[in-house]
Amino acid sequence: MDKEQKNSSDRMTRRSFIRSSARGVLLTGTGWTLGYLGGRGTAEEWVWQIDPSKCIYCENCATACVLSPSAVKCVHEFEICGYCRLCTGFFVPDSIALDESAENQVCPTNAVVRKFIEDPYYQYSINEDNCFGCGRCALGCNAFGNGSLYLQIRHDRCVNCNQCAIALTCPTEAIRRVPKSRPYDKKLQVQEENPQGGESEA
Amino acid sequence: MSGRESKENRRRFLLRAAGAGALLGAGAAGGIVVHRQMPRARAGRGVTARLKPGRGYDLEALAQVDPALIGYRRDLRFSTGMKAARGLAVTEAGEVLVAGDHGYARFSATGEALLAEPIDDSARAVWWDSESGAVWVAGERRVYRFAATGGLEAQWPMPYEGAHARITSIATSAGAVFLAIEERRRGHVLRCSMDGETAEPLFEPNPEEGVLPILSPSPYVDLGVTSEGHILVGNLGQCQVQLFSATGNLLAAWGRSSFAIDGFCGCCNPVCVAALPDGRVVTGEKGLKRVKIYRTSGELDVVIAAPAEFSAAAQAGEPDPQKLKGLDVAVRSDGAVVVLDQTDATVHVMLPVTEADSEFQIVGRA
Ligand code: SF4
Ligand code: SF4
Ligand code: SF4
Repeated sequence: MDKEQKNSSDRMTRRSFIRSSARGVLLTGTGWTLGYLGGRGTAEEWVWQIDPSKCIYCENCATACVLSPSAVKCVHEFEICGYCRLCTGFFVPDSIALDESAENQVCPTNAVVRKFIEDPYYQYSINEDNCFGCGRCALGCNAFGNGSLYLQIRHDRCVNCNQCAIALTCPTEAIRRVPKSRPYDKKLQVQEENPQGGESEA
Repeated sequence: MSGRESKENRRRFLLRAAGAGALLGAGAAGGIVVHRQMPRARAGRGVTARLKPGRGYDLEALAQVDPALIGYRRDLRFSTGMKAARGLAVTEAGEVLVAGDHGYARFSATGEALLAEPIDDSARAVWWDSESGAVWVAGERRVYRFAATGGLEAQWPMPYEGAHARITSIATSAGAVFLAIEERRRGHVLRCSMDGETAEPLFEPNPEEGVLPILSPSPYVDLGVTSEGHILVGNLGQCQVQLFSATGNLLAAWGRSSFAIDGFCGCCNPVCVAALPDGRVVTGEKGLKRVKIYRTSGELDVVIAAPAEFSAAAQAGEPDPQKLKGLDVAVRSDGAVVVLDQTDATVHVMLPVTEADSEFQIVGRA
């Protein structure tokens, strides 16, 4: 009887052990999910964005983003653009000709699209599928033109990491959190809000 | 069930609940940590696009100027104290007039503030009338005349229709006021009567005859007047300097876009022009802040200031789109060239390097 009782109690212990383990795994998993979603939930009120007045187009945005290609793209604010025939965001310095040949273009992936409007004006737009956010076009435009090309984190692809990987390495701390309701930092909008800051070139 | 057994059951229940709580907590902590660390964990993944060197703008290299070409040195630098300094003029006595914020200010030749007078809108340009001594100030859409000794004498609205038009420069010559106007990226020069009652275009563009229209991708169309009373126009969108008689005949046009020192860099330069007494032309560029003198034929004569002359904040590529980026230039009767750096609202007085200066520098270096 003693032996029988012992066997039965052993069986009970194994069963209860398996049951307890399963319960433990379930509880830990539930906790993990809740914690993860909680972490995301707080991040979703804010999104990461580049302050165009601080960005120096160091090319880091092209490589530091967790996405490949980067969630950072060049954007074009047409209200500021001079529609120049010779766009320093499009052409390499002293290009051989002012045409669309690849060797004349500053963009390594030909993502800036040049379109004739009327003599002598051209419109420049960005093919975001080709853009990987190196900022070379924006550097040329900001240094010599009106600064209508600049970099922004595009929220149709950014996964809104809790800590933006580019922000960790940005040399000018240009990346900051902005309210999700106003996810882009438009240059003219900034100037309208800060009229004493100076004047638009456009 | 005995009291002892129920006590035992309660103890077991509490122990289990505590264990479950601990497991939930540990799981949640793990979840949060993993979420926080995710970008770092993923950061190591490859990037498809590889950066190729050498295609973009090497601003440091472009800003280099051969020192042998520089024929001027800085004699004086002073701050105007303005937030937005826009235009510059110099009087016969060497006093410096600066248009900026909502008015203009007068400084002595050594940089002491003498006078400041307000206008109703943002000041864009200033001109000293050598015939009357009057100071002409252009607001965005109004013209103001101040007496030589100070005090507003007259004002009139810009005689040009166009909701988006604004004045970018002002000059007087041969009994007329000349206004440069920018509207929707095109430029115009008006010849106006001194009271602003009448106005007509200085010239009609005629590309076949070499009279190019003024293009103004940014609002910097500038005017100057030669000692003969001819009108210099900085046609920045064409990277050209145009010279017209006061009645509108094209006398000369030259210039090309190039980052080379004899060209005008980028899309929109020169942003300012002024005439030396011998007819040579002083030009200033934005982007690469270069001030140079060209012969009447359009050949580069000498460099007055290289980008290194201007403060770090004024260098090309500095990230501050809310700042004005340009320069303005004026010529003093003794040949000094006065430069206004709009970025930090400072005035630079540049003198030609003389032989004595060179000897001093050689001695100094040795
Ligand atoms: S890392 Fe910073 S400075 Fe560099 S391109 Fe990105 S936002 Fe601009
Ligand atoms: S130069 Fe770089 S940032 Fe600009 S469009 Fe091309 S890939 Fe995008
Ligand atoms: S938050 Fe993440 S996905 Fe978005 S730009 Fe930064 S690193 Fe890229």
